[in-house]
Amino acid sequence: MRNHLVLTVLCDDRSGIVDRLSDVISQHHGLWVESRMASLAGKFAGLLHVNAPAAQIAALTAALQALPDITVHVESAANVAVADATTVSVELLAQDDVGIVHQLSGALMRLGVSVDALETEVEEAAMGGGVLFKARATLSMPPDGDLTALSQRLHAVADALAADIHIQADL
Amino acid sequence: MNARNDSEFIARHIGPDAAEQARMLAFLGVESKRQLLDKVIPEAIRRTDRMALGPGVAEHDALARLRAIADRNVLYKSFIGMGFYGTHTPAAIQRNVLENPGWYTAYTPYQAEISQGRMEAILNFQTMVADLTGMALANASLLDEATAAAEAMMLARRMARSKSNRFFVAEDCHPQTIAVVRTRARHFGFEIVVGDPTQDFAPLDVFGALLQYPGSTGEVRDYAAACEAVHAQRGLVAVAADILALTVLTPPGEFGADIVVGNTQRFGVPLGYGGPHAAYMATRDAYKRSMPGRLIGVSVDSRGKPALRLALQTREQHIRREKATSNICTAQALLAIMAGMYAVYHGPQGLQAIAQRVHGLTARLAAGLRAGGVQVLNTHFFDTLHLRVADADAVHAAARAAGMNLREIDAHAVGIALDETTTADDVAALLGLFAIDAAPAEAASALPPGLVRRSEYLTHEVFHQLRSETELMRYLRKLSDKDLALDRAMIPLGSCTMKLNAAVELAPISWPEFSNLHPYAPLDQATGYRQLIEQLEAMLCAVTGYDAVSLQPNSGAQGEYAGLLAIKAYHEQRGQGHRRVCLIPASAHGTNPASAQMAGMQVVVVATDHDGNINIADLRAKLDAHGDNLAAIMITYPSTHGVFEASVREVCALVHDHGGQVYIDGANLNAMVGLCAPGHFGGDVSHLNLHKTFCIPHGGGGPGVGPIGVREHLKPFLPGLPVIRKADAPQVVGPVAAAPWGSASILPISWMYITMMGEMGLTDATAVAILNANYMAKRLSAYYPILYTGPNGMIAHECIVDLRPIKDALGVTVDDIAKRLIDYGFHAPTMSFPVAGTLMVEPTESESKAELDRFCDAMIAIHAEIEQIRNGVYPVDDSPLRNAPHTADMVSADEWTHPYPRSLAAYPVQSLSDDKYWAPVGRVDNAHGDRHLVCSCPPLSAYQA
Repeated sequence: MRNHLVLTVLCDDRSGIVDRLSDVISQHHGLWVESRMASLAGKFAGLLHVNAPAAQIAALTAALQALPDITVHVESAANVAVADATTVSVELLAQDDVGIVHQLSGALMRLGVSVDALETEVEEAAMGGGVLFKARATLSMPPDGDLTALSQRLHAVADALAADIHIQADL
Repeated sequence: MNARNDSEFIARHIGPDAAEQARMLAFLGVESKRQLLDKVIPEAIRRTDRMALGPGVAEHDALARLRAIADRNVLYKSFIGMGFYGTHTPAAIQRNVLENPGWYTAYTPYQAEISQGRMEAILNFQTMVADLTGMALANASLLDEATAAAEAMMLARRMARSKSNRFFVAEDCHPQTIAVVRTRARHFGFEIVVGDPTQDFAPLDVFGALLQYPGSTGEVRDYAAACEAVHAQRGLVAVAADILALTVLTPPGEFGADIVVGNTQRFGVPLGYGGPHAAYMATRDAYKRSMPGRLIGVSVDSRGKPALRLALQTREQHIRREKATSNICTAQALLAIMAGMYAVYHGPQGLQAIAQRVHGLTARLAAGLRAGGVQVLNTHFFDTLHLRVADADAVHAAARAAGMNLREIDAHAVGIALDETTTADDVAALLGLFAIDAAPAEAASALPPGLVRRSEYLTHEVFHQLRSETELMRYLRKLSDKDLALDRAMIPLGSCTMKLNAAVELAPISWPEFSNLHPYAPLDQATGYRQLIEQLEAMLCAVTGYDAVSLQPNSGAQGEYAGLLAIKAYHEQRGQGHRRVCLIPASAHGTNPASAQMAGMQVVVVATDHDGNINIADLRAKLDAHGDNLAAIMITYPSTHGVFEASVREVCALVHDHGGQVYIDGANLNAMVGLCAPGHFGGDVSHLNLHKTFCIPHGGGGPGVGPIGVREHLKPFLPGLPVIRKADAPQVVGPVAAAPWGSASILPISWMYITMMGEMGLTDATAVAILNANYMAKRLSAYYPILYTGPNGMIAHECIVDLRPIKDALGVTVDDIAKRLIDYGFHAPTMSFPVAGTLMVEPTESESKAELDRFCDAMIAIHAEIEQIRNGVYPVDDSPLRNAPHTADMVSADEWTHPYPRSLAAYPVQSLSDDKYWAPVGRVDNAHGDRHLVCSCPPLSAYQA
């Protein structure tokens, strides 16, 4: 049994916010279902739909609200019927750059698919040096979604980020 | 010859003399090299026999022996064509580039700040190719036209929206190209359709097509309709185009091609019996992220000024492994630089004049032949004619009697290709073969009127401003002065073995008997090459303990591919074609998984333990899971962690017990020559990097040579020979390269090295390589943790310096230390391979103790600078490390705001006051370059910004 939550997030806009939120959510076996984010007047504002096992809800709520420097408001939502969705795995690799998490997560949100998971890490690059940004995302697409369109839009994102991208749908 | 002279070269190749070696041994607390080796190399894998090689030979004596071999090659005038043409290498390029250690001893330009000169030269090449092909961008470079065509097929498969499995190859593509494309296609299950390029493409249903422009037998066709038809079925069109013809013909980019490939050999790079030459690939902007190979791009440095760097590295094998766009690592940088400089030397008008002269002579030849009653089959041609004759054998016999080689097509057809070196007298001699007296003085152009080039090319200043040799000479000097190559300092790159490339080893490659032979010349004109190749094969068998060697693969990665194809074919022949799983340790070089993927194998990663060794428990688990489908394991020995794993025999035996073959990557052979042999301790096949262990220079990113050695049972599965018919050639696996013996013209380098060193010299070189590495590791270990050592606390020939604790504590990165080393006059060690956050150091035997100490002193001084960060003297963000490299204009600026003195920035150690290398640019911004991709020469004004 998984319960659904809707969160609002408000804090100063700086890098790592999405990371910190997704860390807490995944630590409580939660899934990042859907979100909208914006940067407004130096503030970061987010609206998230998350689900998690019923037994984890209290702990997850407490952990989110304990995040320093981030104001999180949590509301429980009516249980949502989930249709059979297509899971799409996306692996993205680029030279690390300022704002890349924002661009990526923003782009994923705009695609109208739900983001079940988003993991990111940075690593020093072999041979040429520099820092690589790696992201692995799991997306859920409604059964009537257009996979080709999704793929084209993800490649457009990769073009903008000069990223290497691999997309795989589990049909 | 007296004995003292015979071993003289050994002491020239090996850096430390006896006194220095004694001091290093004492520092390590061992009595002798023998005792050191006993501690380093497990008893169980030591070879018990001596390599079957002679004693060392003095320089002049080795040259005389090689001279006698070279003299057995016979130089006929070549009119064979097929993608290889006579050319005049401008002496200014031969002496100032090809024969200049500032260019040929440089490494691949991963360290952007010390590689600006050669990257600018390569950018010229990219600009030249993009302009001539009419495409948005070009890479630099690919191994040869045939492999470039195979890569074009793979790019088409990645990018085409067609769901077809079929790829069309025009029947008038060069035969070696068709053969190499077939080899590649087979392992991906692509169906190759070879057919008439003028047919209706609509019913074919292909994901791509490869067309030759002009065709192999000379016909120039308009492919616009073909492009449209392939596009209509959502396929991509690749055109293999002749670079010289493109100066007078409409470029493929203007008639709809998606990908253009070709060879740039005829731009001043000698024939060399097949290589090395630089091939190119150009494509549309939309496909840039899927393009294989190296790409130089423009970015900015820490001062906001333009600076060059390798772009889009996230596509490449060293980052993406089996998901890379190709396994290409070493390319053909030196040859690309030569071809680019040939365009700089001649300029667009000069190139066009050459093309028009070649075409004019061809037109006169055709007119003369036709007037004399010979049937010329071509309607439109550039430089190649296709003749129908009654008796081709008789024509070839007459040609050879006159010292000429024509192309053998079949019993009733002959091909004749002219080139830059062809004269009016040659045309008269060719007509003479048909008893025709004279060519007409003039002949009309035979280019198709609709395909005459109208668009401009090579409009950039660099192709216009260097007509005087004085200016060109200074330009080449200016560029090479920007770079750090082996002629300035040691290049301590782990796994790259940057040893001496002795002048005497290099000298013979310019001998005409080696450099002017066409790869498809009749074998009886190449008996010198035959002897050189057989002797080198025997030498490499003696070194590795294998039974046979193929010299065809023209890079290490190509060798891996050829070796895996041999394994696959072996299993198939035994009815075990389902064996497709390739086990690869997590620490392997990125080319390993990329090559396995290219060979159509499934990569399964085996874990390594905390000592860097293969985790035997995990190996057993993977063998249990995949044993029935196991094709091979690919291991590197000594390991990429720089350790002689005692368990290697057990690993090999376990894999053999499960029916798998053992591929031993020879990248680290420099630690084994004379001491242990992969063919003895369990290997079935290995590739060797002649550009590492056997002294072929790195050329700033190629050429390389990656021969494979195999045990007897794999011998029938070595690569087949393209074009050339030879009775004892292997027949099962197709060719992997365009030339039968790959980059034949640089094989004399390795032959000279092995001949001059002899059995004792080579074995001593290995011992000193291990001594040098252990000496450095021990000196550095007082300041930095050294990862991975063998049971006796010793390393093999390289060591990994762990910088992660420093980063975790102080935020100092691998980049900071690598770039700070530039201020000290050094090329950084290998960064973050095989472990992220580390540097891997390999000194080789060629560096003296004095040079090792100079490097260690620099690393120790940098450690002191890091301590100053720890002590709060300056913050990491404004430290001499983070601001490195410091350019002259940074240090001499009127305003200096940093919390450390200028003298520390520029002259941190005393020795620099005598000899200082100044980085021409500040730290280069990687991300900016990728996100604002520019891959052709920016206007000169951009540099003055």
